[in-house]
Amino acid sequence: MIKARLGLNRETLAIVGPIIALLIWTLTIAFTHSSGESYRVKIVGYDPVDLLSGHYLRFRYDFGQTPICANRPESATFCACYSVNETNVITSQESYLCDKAQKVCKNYIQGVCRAGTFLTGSERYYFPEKYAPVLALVPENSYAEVKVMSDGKIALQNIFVGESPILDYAEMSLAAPKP
Amino acid sequence: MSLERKIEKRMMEWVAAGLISPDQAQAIRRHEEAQSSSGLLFWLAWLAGSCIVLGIIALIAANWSSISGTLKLVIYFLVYSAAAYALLKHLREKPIAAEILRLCLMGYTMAGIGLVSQVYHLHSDPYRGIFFWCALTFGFVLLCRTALGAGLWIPTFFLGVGLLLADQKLSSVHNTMVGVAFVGLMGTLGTLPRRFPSLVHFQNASFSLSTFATLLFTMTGLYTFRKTGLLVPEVMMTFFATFLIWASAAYFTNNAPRSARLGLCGFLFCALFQTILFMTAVSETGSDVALKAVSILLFAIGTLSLAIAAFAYGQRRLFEGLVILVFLRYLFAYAEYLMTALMGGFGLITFGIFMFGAIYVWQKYRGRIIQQLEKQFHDKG
Repeated sequence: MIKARLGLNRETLAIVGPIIALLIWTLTIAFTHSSGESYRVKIVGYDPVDLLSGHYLRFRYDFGQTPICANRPESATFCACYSVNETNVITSQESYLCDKAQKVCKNYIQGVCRAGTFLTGSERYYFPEKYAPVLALVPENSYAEVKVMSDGKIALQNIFVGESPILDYAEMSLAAPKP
Repeated sequence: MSLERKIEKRMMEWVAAGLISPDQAQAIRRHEEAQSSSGLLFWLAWLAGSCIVLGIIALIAANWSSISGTLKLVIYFLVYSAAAYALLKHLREKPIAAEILRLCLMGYTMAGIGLVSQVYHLHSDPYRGIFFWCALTFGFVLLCRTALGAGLWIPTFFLGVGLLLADQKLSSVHNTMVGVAFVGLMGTLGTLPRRFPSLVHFQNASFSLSTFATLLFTMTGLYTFRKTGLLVPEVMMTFFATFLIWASAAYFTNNAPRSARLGLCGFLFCALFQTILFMTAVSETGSDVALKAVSILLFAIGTLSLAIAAFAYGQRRLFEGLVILVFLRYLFAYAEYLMTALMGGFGLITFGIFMFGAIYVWQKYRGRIIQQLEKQFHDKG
């Protein structure tokens, strides 16, 4: 009845449904990425290629000396308390199950332990294909600008090499005369 | 009997009975010819559409820095909306164009997931992306008038399930149980009311793909056996699982002629017997030539049974493909056992002669074999 009133039929639903679902998904991500506090995290990594989304830097966050995933079960979700230093860089502290972390930590980050590595699900930075020759590896002294959501999830905003955004750095590297 | 011959035969009967005039019969022939040429047009258009979607994916992958991420997303959604509008409002009377657009939009949806991931630097386990795409495009599959949509969707879904199972690191027994349960679930689709015209395509695509998977796993099993001399439990489980998958797909395929079911049973029997042979007789005798000869013979009998079943289903190309597969199996056997006995050059020459001979024999008797089979199925089916 409602469908008839709205003039909907199966065909319309099948065709318009994916657009609406994709749009909601995109807007949710856009909203999530625009909220939360901004911090910096040191990173290391390299450049693989995705057939669908193109070149990206694949990296690991370096949250400091405290091993978050030591003696943790594989593929389990954990939350680590963190502190922020005067240069706005995050350093992790003790890790707990997320329920406990919510009570114990003032601020915490959430991730999954895989092969002893703490993965937050935001360890990719996509960049234009023309920069592939100069971004085969994450440049030294790179930092990720991230936002930490209220549930501890991390959203990547940008990568900086020193004080330059990575795409500016790549542009300069391309323009620099080759030895 | 092929559809064209059936129509031709019926028309001659109708003309003889005075139901239609010879002119009308001629008009029907012209119409059917036009339909078959529109089939070619469809495939060409599908090829063109695929090229465009692949081009869009390549453009997204290039990630042009001169266009901002937000603008890329706006363009993406505008194009998607325009295509959806065209599909709903303007292409109702143009089935070929509508079908091509539906298939293209399935690919375009995948491109969109890639684009959003790129703009917001997201990543996740691949199976999550695949399942998301499957959920978004399921409606398109049900709307499709050809089996291409289902043919694209089902293997992608299987890929997602495979990646999920790999991620869960389950035992082979659990994997097999989940796989079989999943196929059983999919098989029940055929029992649902026919509210969507493409359910029959869904069934046919499942049947063809599971046939392909069964053959692939059989060959994988043979290869594993040849390589290691014993059948590892995972492969054994895969054998059983694929037999079940295939049997269920065959069971749920509508209107299967009796002769086709007999062919299917023949194939299943041979495949099962092969497995038993491997399980009981093979332990460390990987170089046992007699055992391999029996195995190849069973493979040939089974595959030919399957070919006959495919013929009975009206899948003449599949029939020919399977016959060629049997030929190739023997060709490999020849290469393995006889070519090495001869010097390199001679071995290659005899290999070439063997191939030419087989092609000559097939070309010579192909028409006669097909005619005999058609007669057989016409008489009994």
